[in-house]
Formats: sequence, C-alpha cells, structure tokens
Amino acid sequence: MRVSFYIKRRVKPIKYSGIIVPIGSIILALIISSILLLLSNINPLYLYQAIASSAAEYSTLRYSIPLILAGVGLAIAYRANVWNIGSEGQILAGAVITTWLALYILPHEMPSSLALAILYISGFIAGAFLALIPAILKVKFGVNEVLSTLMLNYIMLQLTNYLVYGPWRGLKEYGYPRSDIFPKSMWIPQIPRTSIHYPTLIIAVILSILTFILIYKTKTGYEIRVLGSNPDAAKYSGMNIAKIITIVMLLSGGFAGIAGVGEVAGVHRQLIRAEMVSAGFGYTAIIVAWLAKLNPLVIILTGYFIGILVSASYTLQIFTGVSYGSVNVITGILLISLISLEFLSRYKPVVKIIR
Amino acid sequence: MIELLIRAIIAGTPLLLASLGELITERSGVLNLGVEGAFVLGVAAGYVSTVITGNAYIGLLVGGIAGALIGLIHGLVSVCFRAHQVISGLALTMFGYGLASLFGRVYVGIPLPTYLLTDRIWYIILVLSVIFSLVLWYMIFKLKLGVIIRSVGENPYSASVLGVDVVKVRVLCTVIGSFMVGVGGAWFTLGYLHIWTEGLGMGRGWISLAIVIVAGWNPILAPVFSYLFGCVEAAIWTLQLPPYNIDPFILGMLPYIVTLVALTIFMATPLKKFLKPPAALGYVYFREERTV
Amino acid sequence: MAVISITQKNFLSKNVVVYMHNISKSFPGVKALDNVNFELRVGEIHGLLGENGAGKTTLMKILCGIYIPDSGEVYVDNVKRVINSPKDAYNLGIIMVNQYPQLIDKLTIIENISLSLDFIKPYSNISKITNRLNELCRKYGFTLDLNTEVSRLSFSERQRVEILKALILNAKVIIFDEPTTLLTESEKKSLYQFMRKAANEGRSIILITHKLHEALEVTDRITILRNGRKVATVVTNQISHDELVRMMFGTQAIPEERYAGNHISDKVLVNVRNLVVLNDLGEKAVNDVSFKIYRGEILGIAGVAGNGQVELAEALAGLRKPVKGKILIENHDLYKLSTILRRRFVGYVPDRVTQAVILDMPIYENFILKLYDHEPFSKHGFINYKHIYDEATKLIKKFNIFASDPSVLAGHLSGGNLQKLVLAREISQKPKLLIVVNPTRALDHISANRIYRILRKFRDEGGSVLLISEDLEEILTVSDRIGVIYNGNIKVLGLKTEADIDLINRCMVGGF
Repeated sequence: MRVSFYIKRRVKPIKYSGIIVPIGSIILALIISSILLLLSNINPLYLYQAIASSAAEYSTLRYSIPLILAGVGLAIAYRANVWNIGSEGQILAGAVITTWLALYILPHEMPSSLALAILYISGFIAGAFLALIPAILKVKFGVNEVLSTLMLNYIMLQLTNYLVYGPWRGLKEYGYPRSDIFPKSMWIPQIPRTSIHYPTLIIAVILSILTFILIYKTKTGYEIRVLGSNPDAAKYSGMNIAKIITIVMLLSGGFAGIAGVGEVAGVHRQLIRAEMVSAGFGYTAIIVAWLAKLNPLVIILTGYFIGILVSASYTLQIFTGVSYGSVNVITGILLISLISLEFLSRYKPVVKIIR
Repeated sequence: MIELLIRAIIAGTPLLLASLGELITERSGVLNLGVEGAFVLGVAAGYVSTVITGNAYIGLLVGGIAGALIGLIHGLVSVCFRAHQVISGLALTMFGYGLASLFGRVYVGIPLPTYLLTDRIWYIILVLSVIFSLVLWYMIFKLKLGVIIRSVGENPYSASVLGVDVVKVRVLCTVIGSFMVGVGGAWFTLGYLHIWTEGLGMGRGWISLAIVIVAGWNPILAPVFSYLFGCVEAAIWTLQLPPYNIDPFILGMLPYIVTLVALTIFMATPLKKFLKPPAALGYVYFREERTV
Repeated sequence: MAVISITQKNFLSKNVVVYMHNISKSFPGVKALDNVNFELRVGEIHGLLGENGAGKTTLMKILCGIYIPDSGEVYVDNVKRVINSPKDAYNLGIIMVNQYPQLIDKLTIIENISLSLDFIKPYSNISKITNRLNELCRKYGFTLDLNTEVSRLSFSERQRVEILKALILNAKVIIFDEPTTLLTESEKKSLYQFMRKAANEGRSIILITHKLHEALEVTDRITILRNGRKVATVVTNQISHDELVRMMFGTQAIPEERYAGNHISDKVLVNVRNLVVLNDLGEKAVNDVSFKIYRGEILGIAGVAGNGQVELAEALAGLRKPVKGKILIENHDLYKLSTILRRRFVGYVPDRVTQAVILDMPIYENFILKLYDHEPFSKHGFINYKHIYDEATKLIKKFNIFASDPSVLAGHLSGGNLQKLVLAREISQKPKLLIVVNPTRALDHISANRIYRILRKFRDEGGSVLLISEDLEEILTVSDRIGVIYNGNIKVLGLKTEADIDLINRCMVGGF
C-alpha cells in the first residue's frame, strides 16, 4: 500500500477567498503568537489588551504614516519584480539629509512652509539617490538587488549612528546621544497631544492615490506590470527594461526617504539612534505592501492595521518587558499564514491511497 | 599578529557553517532568505539552551534545531505550497528576529556558564573546517546524492521525469541547510562573542548569502571567503583599539561594504561565467499536467 | 528512397508482454484517447502510426506513467499494474526514449544516467557504473565519452544516452517517440539496426511515428490511430502503402492540402544583406546570411531546431541587433528606426508563445503589448482602456478566438486560442512583415488549419510572411517559396511547386 500526495488546482478558488484569506491569516497569526507568548511565560491577554487599546486611540496613526509611505513605494517596485529590501536605509537617508539641512544649512528663520517643502523634497531625493546605487548595480552588472539593498541598510545604519554619536552629537540624555533639536520652523506640525504629523500623513494618502493611478492607468504603470508578470514579454515588446527598473527603485527609495523626513522632523524633532528612527519600519512596510496585494489604495488600510500592531508592541513592552522587536513574530507569522492560505484557496491537496 | 589570525578563524567559522548550509539549499534550487532569521534565532537558542543546560554542545544542537525549524517552514511554504520564495524567506527572517527577541529577553546579561574553548584549539577548527568543505565538495560532485541535488537545482522538470522526488529533495536540503545555519548562529555566540543582546547576529545571515554567490556555489571556495570575512572582523576589532582608535561605527560599515564590493566584482567580471548559479534557483516548481 | 534490407522477423512468438485495455484520456477541450486497446508481444518491433494529434504519444505517456488514464487498465506480463509515475514504469522495465531527450544539460552523461538507477545508492560514487556503461557502448557500437556535459552533445548522441539508460536498466519495453525527425540518413540506419538487435535479444520495441515509409521499413506489426481511436492493428509485411494511407486518413486522399502557391510579385519588401547575429553565449548563430522577401508571399524556411532560427527571427523582428549586415525593409534600415516604428513594421509570433503574452493579464491588456504607446490607445502617458476594450472585442470576433469577452485572462485560453491571439494581435497592427516560428506546434489538426487560413489571408491582402518551422509538412503546405536553414546559413531553394522533398530533407539534416 502506498500513499501518494499531490496538489490539484481547484476549478474555482474558494468563494469569498479575498476576504477569508486575509482575515483567516490574522486570526491564525494571533493564535500562534498567543501560544508563543504562553511558552515564554507571558499572559497573552496582555497582547489583546495592547491591541485593543491601540486600536481605540487614533494616536497610533503615527506609526501608520511611515508604513504607508514606504509601503506604497515598495508596491511600485514589487510590481515590477524588483525586490527593494532597502527601505530601512532609505528612510535613514531621508532622516540624515533632513538633519543636515535643518541644523546646519537652512537659515533658522526661514518661513516654515518653505522649509518643510525643501525638507520633504530633499528627503525624497536622498532616498532615491540611495536606491539608485543598487539600481545601477542591477542594470549594469546584474547584482541581486536583495543583497545590495540589504547591505546599504546596514551601511546607512552605521553611518547614521556615527553621525549621531560623533560630529552631530548634541544634548546627552539618558545615555543615548542625540543631535540638537531642530529649529521650530522646521518642525512638522502635529495634531495636538499626539505625535501624528499630519502633513506627512496627507502626503502619504495623496501619494498612494497618485501611485494607484500610475500603476493602473498610465503607460509607465503598464510597463511596470508587464515587467513584473513576464520579463520575456517586456523584452519582446521592446520596453526599456533598464529604465523601468531605475524608475521603480528611485520612486520606492524616494517615498521611503519622505518617511524618514517625517520621523525626524515630525516625531522626534531631532536625530536619534538609527535603530529608533527607522525602527524596523522599512522591513515592516514589506508586509504592509504584501498584505495589501500591492494595491496602493489598500495599503492605506493595511498600513493602519499594522500600525496598530506596532503600537501594541510598544504598549506590551511597557506592561510585560517584552521588547518591541517581538512584534516581528506576529507580522512574520501573518505573512506566512497569508501566503499559505492564499495557496490553499486555489489548490487543494489530494491524498491518494494505492494498493 | 597570530592573535589576529586566531580571531579571524574563530570569527569566520560561523559564517562558513552558515554559507555551506545555504549552499546545499541553493544547489537544490531553493533560495532561502530566511537564513538571516535562522542565524539570529540560532544565536538566541544556542545561548539560552547553554545557560539552561550548562552544556555548550547542547547549545549548538538546539541552535541547529531552531534553524531547521525555520527551514522546515520555508520548505513547506515555498516548495510544497509553491508560494513566493522571496516573501516566504523574508517573513521567516522577521519571525526569527521576533522569536529570538521573545525567548532571549530574560537572559540578557546572564553570563554563559561555559562556552566552547575555541581559542585553544583554533588550528584544529581550521583543519576540520577545510576537511568538512572538502567532504561536502566530494558529496556534491562525486556522489549520487550530489547528482540528485544538482539535478533538482538545474532542471527540476527533467529531474522529476527521471524519477527524482523533487519536493522531497528540496525540502530536505532546505531543512539541513537551515540546520547548519542555526549551528553557525549558535557558534557565533558560544564560540566567539560569548554574550547575548537583542539583535545579536543580525546581518551575518545576509553575508553568508553573499558568500555563497561569490564562492560560485562551490564548497571549496566557501572557506576562502568565509575566512576572508573573518579577517575583516578581526581587523575591525583591532582597529577600534589604540593605537588606531578608528570610530567603531565607521568600522562597522566595513563588512557590508566589503560584501557589496565583492558581489559587484564577481558579477562584473568574467568570473561569473565559470561560477554560475543553479539554473532553477528561486523558481517555483509546479508539477501540473499542461498540454500547452 | 533506398530500401535497407533488414530481415523483418516473421512473427511467431505469441507472448504478450503489454496489454492496454480500453484506455481513455481527455484534456480540457479535447478527447485525446477513446477506448483504445493496444497489445505488444515479446521480441517485436511494433509501430504506432498516426497523424500529429492522433493520440500516439498520449497513449505511450500513459504506459510510461507520465499521464494517468481517465479509464482503462494496463497489464504487464498478464498482471494488472498501476503505473502512476515514471519510476513505476522503470520498475516494470518500460522505458521511453523521448522525442526531445529529457536530460539535464549541466550534468555529464554518466551523472544523467545514474539519476534513474535505483541500484546506485545516494551515498555511492557514481563512477561505479562507468565500466558497465562502457561495456554497453562497445556492445552496441556507441562512441560516447561518459564524462562530457550533455549540453555539448549532438541530438543523435543525446538519443543514445537515453538508449543507454534503457539498456543499463535492462528494459523489457523500449518506446521510441518520433526518433528519426532529427537524424541523418546514416544515423537512422544505425538506429534501425539497434532496434532489430534489441528485438532479437527479446526486448520489445514500440516505434511512434507519423511517417508511413518508416513504419513499413522497420516494424513487425503496426497499430494505426486516428483521432484518438484505434483503427486497426496489422502485420507489416501483409499491408500495402495505400491501405495504410486509407487507414491513417480515412477515405480522404493524401492529406497535404498543398494548394498551388502564389505567383510571386517582383517587389522586394525585405532585403537581408550579410547578416551576422550572435546568440546569448556570444557565438555566431546566423552566419553571413543574405536573402530577399517579396511583397505578398509566404517564404518558408525549414530547419531542425538549433540552427539559428530563433536568432534570425529575433534579428528580423527588431529584438536582437546583428553585429554585421543590414536588414532593409522597404529600403529603411530596420535598426536605424525608432523602436516604435520597428514594432510597427514587423509582427512577430515567437515559437514559445508565452514569450509574447502575459498569462496573468486579460486579453485586452495583452492586445496592447506592442501598441500601448501609440495613439489612440494612449495619450500623454495615460492609457485609454475603453478604446482598447472595444478594439479587443472586435479582434476576438474577427479572428474567432474562443473567449466570451476581452476580460478573460490569457492564461485561461487553450493553446490554440493563445496562438491565435498573438497572431491576431500582430496582424491587427498591420505590419509589413509577419514572422511566425513553429506556429502550430502542439496544436491539433483543426486549429492548425485555422492558423494557416489566417496566414494566407494576410498574404492575400498584400502582406509578407516569413514562416520558420521545424515541420517540413507545414512548410510545404503553406509557403510560396521554400528555403532551408542549417548551421546559421540559409539557402533559398525556390518555388514550392518545384520543390524536391528529398533535397530539402538532406539540406535540413546535413547542410548544403
């Protein structure tokens, strides 16, 4: 007797799988995370409490802003099958250029709107520039962009810390060095009593809409989608593949750069340790993008939702001492569940017993 | 000078273990971006289990098992479920980071009761590593097992027609490869740094990935590049101290700059013609009846 | 054609080694086999004869465990067996030598063979079988260096590797799938001699072919299939050529609807001069080629795969820049034109149609693959999807593509319809030259004829077609003028009506 196991495509995907799959994966992720928390002697109820309280307060939007921005940028790149994993570093690039301009270049009495406009644009340019390097390496030499963007993340991390601990060190509180506080004119305004820097939020939403139009309604968007679906067809059609790769890298890097501007000028109002500036947003944005199936408008929703999770992890840290890094457990499981359930909705396993 | 060499060897060995493991996985056609998570988890698991059991060898084993767990999930999701290999790997890296942070938090600051006395036996380690690499080379290129693995990595469709169980081979190679990455991670703390902090080991997984590429997926070249890296680490450690006193953050960029440069040189020169990746690396394998 | 005298065994042995009973198999949209019975005896060479698409390969793939039948049973040595995988077939001693050998390019001969051998354990060194293989090579007259990478072997050598594998497994039944399409005359002779020798040793050989003369020459018995059904099983030396024709095609006469061919105009559309094109490895694939294509003609270039067809087609389509020489279309140098004009002038339907379609996208988005930056489909960077949808709807009707509306995903279309879609798309942009490569590969008879009709219509309306194909029948059916490609060189032999088939065959396989 022999058991053979193979996969058969379902004639039609399971009904309503568009809803069941994301929700199912969220539930699965929460269940597994609870089990893991139990195993480390932590009451999972704290987790749910933290999530509930984060969901109730709108101040958690603060975390959604960089996630949405970076996520939208990644959606553009991933649609073309260009795996930019470097958002973390690109965020830092935006943060660094902002600090430099705000503290050392721009006159302190500059009108605020002009200063902020310059900061946002420079952040975009800085992020785009950092992303240009892996783009060129990929186009000219075929260097795998996953590795090149990752390396640049770490390089930017060290560079930022060098600046904060070194030449740009300002006040010294709680043992962690920080830069000087930015002049008031270069503070991005916040909603009172929260750290939601709403101009950046508005920019995020606008960019998300513009990106949606770009991808689905324009020539460039079409080229991006074709390249992502079938590079042979792109070549056959005569598309300039190098150009497409470069554009998507520049855009995704630039958007992440803007997120960096928001973090330093909108939340902290100074440059702090790199790990706390980018705080894993760059990596978490990957999940935000994928959860939304790379649809820029849906990213607003998933960005909000994951923002809640991130906020919950900080709350959890306060209550239980679990470091905020453990939110990665939830997001990691979430992504795995998502792709597994997606697969199961389209294929069913068939077990055949043969005598 | 000899101190530096010892340090280089000790530091390079975890990288060697990890890259040899990933090499096996990639030879079967699976790209495992979860190596980073497997490594970091291996560090934490190795440290924690050594503290609990007082035995560093158990620590190595547990680290390996933790890595194998990551590999198992990746194999299941990307090979059996045919999901996107890149996303699955990245998700597992995050999962590994989170899990390491979760289980290790209690043990920050608790010192290791014992660790591997690597600095006494460094020459033995060197010889063993080289022998291990040679054995792997023999296995991959001379034994049928290696032919099976390579066939799956070059052309899984033909391999399956020829009677190879592609899914089984790929999953096994992913699990075994990840196991080795986990052991490498455990070694990183048990044999080299002897401490644990949040996020220890980050970045090393990616470097092992780069080593596999630059070594042309050939086990003989892996030790060359791993120990080269070890030298970079040793250099960083020395240059931080007097009389050089170079800023540690600037030095911290070095491993990543070196990796980036190495990758670029490899891709930009004719080298890559001789050292090609397995043809089916990263491609999802579907066994469906299609008449078109 | 010279008759090679190989004594055909007079059929005495009644031992049945394989019996396939009431086998049926369907694929989406087509019933490939309908209650077919097949019986194979010990020591015979049994031909399986039929047109392309009659079901021969499908039946054998079921015997080899590649397909699973919808109904029916298989008996081996009078015991009912379930063959679910190639491994099961190997264990029963049934091995297929594929039409295109399934070998792994980067591995050596001995490594490839060792994969299928269960008796080599994973932890053993593969050079264990070296001596045995060399012995077999000597016994059957194969000259092969076991340590060469398969990528360097010729077609006939690759076939021999597969045969070697069957021999070292001591195969009871060896199935050959259209083995001689790509062989030279002397290679064919060697193959037939091998088959006879193997049969004399007690093995059974199944020869799948669509060539009547081959079946008559070397087999002991022949089973004829037509449209998925078995017509008859006959003893070879008791049947005539004409009776076989009637069985293969029904009451129709010879099937090649070779129409008379068009009068060639004398206006030159395409002038190719001293073209040199490199392949992806940097080697010369097209070697100093010059020829002309006239307005309103179909020029058919016949050739065995791997002689530079793909590179030639891509160069003419504007996708692969030649390193020397010129391609002039209406006196414009193709590579001095902008990409947009290049796409406009030349339509290209590649061999692997998946290169030219995006399966995940709906028909209307595939429709604009080459037109998306032309007005009126796009303006100022924005794409006008409404217009595209309407045009795509018209296209589906005009070319009879089987899809309910243009929002159907391309991946849901059948092979024939996908081919039609690409053809339709290319033609609808009204190119001056249409290049098609192997347009009806893997299509059934009816779909293939539809494609030919479309090509002829395009030609009748003044367009020119460059048809590149491995199928000589196809070239003979459709072209006005015929040429041959071999080793990167092209020789145009002349009008189809004056074609000498033997000459063409010889050129295809051995050069000129």
